[in-house]
Amino acid sequence: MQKYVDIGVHAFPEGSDTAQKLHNVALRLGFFDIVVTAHSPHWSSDVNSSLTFGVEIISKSVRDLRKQVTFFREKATIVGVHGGDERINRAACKDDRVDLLVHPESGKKGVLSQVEAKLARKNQVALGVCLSYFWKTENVERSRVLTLQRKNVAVCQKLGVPIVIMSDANSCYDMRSPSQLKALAHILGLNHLEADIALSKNPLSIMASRKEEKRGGL
Amino acid sequence: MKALAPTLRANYRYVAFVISSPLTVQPNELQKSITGAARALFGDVGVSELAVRIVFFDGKKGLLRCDYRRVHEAQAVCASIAKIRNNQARVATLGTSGTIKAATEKYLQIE
Repeated sequence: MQKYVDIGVHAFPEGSDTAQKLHNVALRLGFFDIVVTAHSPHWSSDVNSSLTFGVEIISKSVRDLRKQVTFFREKATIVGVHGGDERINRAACKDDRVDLLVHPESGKKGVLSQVEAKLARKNQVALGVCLSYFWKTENVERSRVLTLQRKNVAVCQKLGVPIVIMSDANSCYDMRSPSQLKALAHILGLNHLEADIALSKNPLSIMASRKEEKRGGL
Repeated sequence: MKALAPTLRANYRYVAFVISSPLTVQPNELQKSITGAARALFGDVGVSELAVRIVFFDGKKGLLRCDYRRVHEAQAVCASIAKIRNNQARVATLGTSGTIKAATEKYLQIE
């Protein structure tokens, strides 16, 4: 049986539920583990829990992004970058300390180029595909985002960039079961096996390598 | 009247689901939400191909019927529902089966 991991779940104060409640709901839905991710302005280091924590860096300039990556690399297990801006997307793909590029579709251009995808593959930066757009957006906005996500998934598939599926949940009502996430990923062009890897093998390998690094650094 | 040949009959799959919502959900409200979500996601033609319909719902757990080739789409429709009657809700799928009896025994545990 696959060990599914939801790598992008936002807990209180960003979301409406505590990390422990989200973890319990995830276990009930069939997940093996979750990574509680906070956007960088909401990051709090005084967390006393056995859960895995990550950060999603929001930055306006490349210089600020590098600074924040240096700061968070030692503190959080998973370091993601909230993309969108073309320069931020590229800087995130260039940096091997970054684990995930999330929301690259939220910017004006919104599509990863082949150059960015090749950089991401070289530096083992995974593409985080947030499926919450399916239930958080509607009509034209949803069509726009799904088009961009489909293009990004296609580029990453072609160039061998690891893909990670996440729910980007802000409350327990935003969480979906692994089979539902895989069904949504199917709409974006991932087949059953690829969706399985994106929901289990890829997040687990990122978590394992980063935990190993942390242990080695101590 | 001559009975329809087995090869011409429609084949369905039954998707078991469970609802989490702060309020009690009525079956007709759920049916409306599911049809609306399916239409928003796949359009009118997609809804007709999905043939999605609730066959059983007790307020918490239920069974959804869909075309046997469109199980993934039916699961995606359930996942895309975020609100029922303007309240937060989650429709989580439990599993899929070929008959109502098997789905009920496996996933709904109703004697």
